[in-house]
This record gives sequence, C-alpha cells and structure tokens, in this order.
Amino acid sequence: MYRIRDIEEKNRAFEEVAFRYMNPLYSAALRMTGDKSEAQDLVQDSYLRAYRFFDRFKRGTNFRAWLFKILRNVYINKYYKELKAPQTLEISNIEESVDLVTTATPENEIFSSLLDDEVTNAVEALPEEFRIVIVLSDLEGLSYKEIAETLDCPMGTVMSRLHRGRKLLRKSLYEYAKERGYVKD
Amino acid sequence: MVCREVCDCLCFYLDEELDSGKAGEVEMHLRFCPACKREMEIQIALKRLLQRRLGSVAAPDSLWRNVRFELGRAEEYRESGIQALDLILWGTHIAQFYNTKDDVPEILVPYIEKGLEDNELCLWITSEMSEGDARDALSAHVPSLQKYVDRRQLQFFSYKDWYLSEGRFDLQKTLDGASRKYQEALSNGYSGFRVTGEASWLELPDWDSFMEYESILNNFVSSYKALVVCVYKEGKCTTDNIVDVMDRHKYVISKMDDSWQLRRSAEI
Repeated sequence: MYRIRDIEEKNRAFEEVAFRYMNPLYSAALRMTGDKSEAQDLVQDSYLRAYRFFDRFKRGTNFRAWLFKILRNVYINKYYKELKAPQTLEISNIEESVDLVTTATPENEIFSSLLDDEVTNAVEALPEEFRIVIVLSDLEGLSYKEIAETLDCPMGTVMSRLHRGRKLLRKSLYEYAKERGYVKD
Repeated sequence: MVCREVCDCLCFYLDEELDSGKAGEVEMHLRFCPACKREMEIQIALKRLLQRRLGSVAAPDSLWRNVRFELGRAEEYRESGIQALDLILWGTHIAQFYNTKDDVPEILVPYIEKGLEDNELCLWITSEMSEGDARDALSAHVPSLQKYVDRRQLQFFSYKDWYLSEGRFDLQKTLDGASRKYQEALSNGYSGFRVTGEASWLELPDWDSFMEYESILNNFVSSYKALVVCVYKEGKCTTDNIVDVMDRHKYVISKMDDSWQLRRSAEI
C-alpha cells in the first residue's frame, strides 16, 4: 500500500517526464485511430497504464520509446480489433504494385496540389504495419532505433516497412491526384 | 554505388540513419546523377508534405484535464484481465453476452485470474457453465487454483443457491448475499471483491424482478471496491431484454465475428 507522500512523489515524477509527450502521443493516436474522441481515450488509457508500470520503467532507457510502445500496445489490444483478423494484403506483393510512375507533372507539384483530407485519407488507408512506422518516423521524428523499441522488432524490419510504406503512400497520393485531375499525362 | 542502390537507401539517407561511409557514397553519387537527385527531391517533398499537413497536433485542453483527473485516482483502477477493457475503476458493472458455452470462459477466466493475482475475493456464480467446467477452465491458467479455493479467496455458488428461493428469483436474498460477501472480503484483508454471475437460467416470470436487482446493483457497486460481470445468453434474450441489460451496465461485451467487442453504455 502506498502512503500519500509516496503517491504524491510518484505523481510529480511521472508528470515531469511523461507530460511533455502529450502532444506527440495525441498526434500519433489521431493518425492511428482516425478519430478525435478515440484518440483522446487511447492517450488517456496509455497514460494510466504508463503510470501503473512507471516503477518498471528502466531509468536511463528511452522514455519516449517506452511511452509510444505503451500507446501502441493499448491501441492493438483495445482499439484495433481488425488486427486480430490478419489483413489479406501480402507485403511481398506491395513492392511490385508500387512501381513509381512518370508523368509530365513533377511529383512534388502533385503533392502540393493535394488537400489535407486527401493526405490524411491516404495515410489512414495504409496497412497498419506501414502506417505506424510512417507516423512514428515522419510525423513524430522517432529514430529507427526508437521505432524498433516501440514495435519490438529489428531495425531491419523498421527500414523495410518505411521504405515500402513510403512507396505505397506515394503511389496512393498519385492516384488521388489523378482522380482529381491534378496530373497531366 | 549504382542508381538502384542509391534509390534503395535514399530514404534512410534523408532520415540521417545511414552510417557516415555510406552517406558519403550517396552524396558523391547525387552530385553527378540528376535522376537520383530528382528522386531525392521528390522524397523530401513527400516528407515535408506529411509534416506540413499532418504534423504535430496540440492535445485538446480536455485531454490534459482528463489525464490529470484520471491519474489523480489511478490507485482506484484495477486490471480487469479482459483485453477489450484493460484497466477499470472499482465499482464497474459489466454485462457479457455469449452465444455458446465455450464463449463464457474466454472473458471470465482472465477476469477471475487477475482478481486472484491482485488479492481480491472472487466469486463465480455458475449456471450453464457448471462449477466443474469453471474449475477446469480456470485450472489451465491458474496452476495453484486449489490453494485459492482452500483459503476461500475463490468461491463458487450455483445459481440455485445464490439467486433462488423455492425455484424463483429472490431479490432480497441475493442482495443480502452480495453485501455479506463484500464485508467478508474487507474483513479478511482482501483489496476488494470481484464477482461474476451467470443469468442463463433466467426465465420471463423473473425478468422484471431481476432487472430491478441489476438496477440496485448498478448503484450499489459504484461506490464500493467491487467489480461485477453479469453473464447473459444472447440467444435467450429478446431485443427488449438486451436493451434492459444494456441500460443497467456501464460496459457491454459481446462477440461479433469471432472477436469480443466492447461498448460503453453512453454509446448504446
């Protein structure tokens, strides 16, 4: 049983190291769930779980990666039900499907013509294993080592998913642009 | 380095994740290869696009407030053992709808297992799933099950003994029993009381009275160190019955497409 002073000290220590990641965690949660209210619940649940296991956090290791790992686990266990039914998309097939396209319109111009919603939709439509590495790397600025810690996988897997995920995203943004008539053939 | 090799590692180069030797080779190649340089510009544009359009979003004030509030009462949270629920507050009243008998232990075994681990007095009121079934299911996950039974931290009751008098549901007897067990939990030094009661025996003549009990229980548990999972057989419930149950529990867990789905009463 904790004494009041112990609890107060734990709260203070936890807030000091954990609260600075509220915005990055919320941003990532938003990209993972695609829903503001679910993202808030996910962050709240993750903080509660992190607080509960704060004593088990190894001092000197990366707290940010530890927090993101908790966010990711809570998301999978509680929010991402579909993950239990594996996605049918074969990773090996993706490589072939994302041969990059050449058009008269430079791709960087195509990108800037896209609307925020179109970019959001393209990211949210990515298979989960690709979306998470892109969110953590490109949006939250985690290093490959931190992402590997977060996802409990080798760095090589992080690199391969990032490489493939970005190709897939590029392809899907191009398709959006083509549908909207932003691309000149 | 040839173009293909450069293109394969350009994104790692831009993320500053290449070792200095390889990064130097990429830089050298880019100096003389307009095609790869253009590919790099596209990748930079993609990265910037993501950061500009989807970059860091400020957490709303309500989230800061809620996190602070919940952390302030973090000690009141318990491990439910139920994956879809995770941590829950003392006083949470949950309903589980099941289709076949085999569904029942999928929720109840981890729920009871966690309660035993966390020093709670656990009560399992059985019906379609008998005490023998419950013991078998639990013993696969709790090797020292008998120890918990012997010291009465885990107790089983049949629905007949717990809920009924002369074959009919007895509201007062059931409430008194729950209250007695709660006192037993506290006076024996347990951190709280965790119970599950199966209601597949319930028939129409007792339905209204049982719902009255559920309403009372809903108020009763909210202010106690108690967790309750009430188990209903979905196939025996009419739509009205399901609504009655949903109205009287904070969370409802039911199986859809082979996975357990959770709904909060506010969403129902």
